[in-house]
Amino acid sequence: MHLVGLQAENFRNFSTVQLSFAKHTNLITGSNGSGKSNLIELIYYALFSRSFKTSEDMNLLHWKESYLRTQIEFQRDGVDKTVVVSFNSNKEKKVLLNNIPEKFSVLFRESSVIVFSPSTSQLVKGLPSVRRKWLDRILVRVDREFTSILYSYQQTLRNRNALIKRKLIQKEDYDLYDLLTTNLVSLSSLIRKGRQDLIKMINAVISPTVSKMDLPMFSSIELKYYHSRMMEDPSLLAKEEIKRGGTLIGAHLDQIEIFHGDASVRDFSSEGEQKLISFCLKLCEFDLIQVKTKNSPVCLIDDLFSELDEDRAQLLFKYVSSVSQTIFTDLTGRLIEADKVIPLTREENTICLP
Amino acid sequence: MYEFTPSYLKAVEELHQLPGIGPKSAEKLAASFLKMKQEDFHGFVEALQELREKVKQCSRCYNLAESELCLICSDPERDQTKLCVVEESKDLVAIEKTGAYNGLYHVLQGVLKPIEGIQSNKIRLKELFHRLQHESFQEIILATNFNYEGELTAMYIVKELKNSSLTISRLASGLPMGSDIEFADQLTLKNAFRGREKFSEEMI
Repeated sequence: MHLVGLQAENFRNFSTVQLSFAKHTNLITGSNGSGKSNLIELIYYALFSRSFKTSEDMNLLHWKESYLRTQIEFQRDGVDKTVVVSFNSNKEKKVLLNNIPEKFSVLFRESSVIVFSPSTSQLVKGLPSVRRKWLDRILVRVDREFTSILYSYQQTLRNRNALIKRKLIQKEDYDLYDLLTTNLVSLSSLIRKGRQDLIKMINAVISPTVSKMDLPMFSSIELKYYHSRMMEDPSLLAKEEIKRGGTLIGAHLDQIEIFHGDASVRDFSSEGEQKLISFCLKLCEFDLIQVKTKNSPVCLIDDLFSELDEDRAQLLFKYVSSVSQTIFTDLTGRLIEADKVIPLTREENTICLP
Repeated sequence: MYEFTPSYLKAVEELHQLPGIGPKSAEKLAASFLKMKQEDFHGFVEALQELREKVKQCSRCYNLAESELCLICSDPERDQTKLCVVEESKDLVAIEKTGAYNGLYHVLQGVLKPIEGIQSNKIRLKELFHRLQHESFQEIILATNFNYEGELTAMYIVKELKNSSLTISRLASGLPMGSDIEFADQLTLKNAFRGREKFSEEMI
């Protein structure tokens, strides 16, 4: 898959954007605060109608403007596609895929993108929820059934929490709680199976991936999956859940830890090692998505050289750009040659490049 | 600044309360009432009044009715051993239009939505279980919608009836008529496979 063109109005610091992309490598340059990262975020938003940085679309509106609009054209398997997203200050959002209104969940299946950014290292040092979401998002892209399982799970969890908050006073409430518990447990086991199978696949590709980055010392990195507590005596569980005001069992509480030999990477590795390991894991994601969807995802790399040392950055860039379209940002752009350069300046908030 | 007259504004405000009617549409409706012929307008008002006064709930199945029992419950030709459970009267009408079913109905007037505080006591579930105990049904057909809440409600009913001798069935989920298999979503196609039927002569 590759991106062809992008138009936008009133997104973050840009009032107008009109761009076309080179099929292989694209470099966005500009000084600090010129909007390089915003442009990466804009590409992601235009494809998925969601930002990877904020869940509040209001924050994306250009200062004092009442609407934003994005339009992105891309090609996948030789088919041209266009996604138009519009959002206004009344919080109304519309998504059009090839001029037909669509739900945003459809967009995740239409295009495929991998983002490498300064927040990538959260994958290792962040909370377990970051790793759970990371696995779930990979699964949603490669397995459609997982999407509906995850949706049912989230609905079940929300309903069950709502019921627990009302303290299960009546017998009917308790029956419904019981039913939701059964559903939660069976959906949990499906989600766990999906995640554990994926972890097995990731563990199998870690060693070839780290060798691509010339990091042989990380070949023994391993992901491990830990179940949260299991269902104990149901009546005891209900009592405790009412006391704590929420669900205490299920796959949404499971933990995923990363080990280097016997040591947890989160606790024992240095900041720099954590960064390298998270980039390796993202590269595993890249490889898996490529194999599973038989399509290379577009790589968006924010601030390549400030995140990795020069050698690693060159290796990462060489590898991803050899198989997929790559769009990356850099302060100067002196270290890497790209087919197309998109220069940004701090003063101008209009980009027009044919 | 000039505004519309008070009575006009009041009517607009009332119309705006209706579902799906925004402020602009409310103004349009108010203006069209003013343009209507007197007798047409009276007919309109009468229809609304009759709706409020005459249309009630059937005391047995909670369908819309204009007497104690709805037309279906008061029809002796109906199969009294079958009960079809639907969410709303509009679902009942949709099933009736097919002509494929000749049993009785029970309208739940909603579905279980614990997030919004809609639990079993807020819909007609107690009444359903009461009917199942006191009437002579042999089969209950669950025809709630195939979304999360509809499925949850169906599962809840099944759970509550686990000790009964009733035959419980659920409407089949599968491919719509006139559809192409290649465009069907995977879940629907999977359900269609699971629920496949033996080919019988009736189908030809």
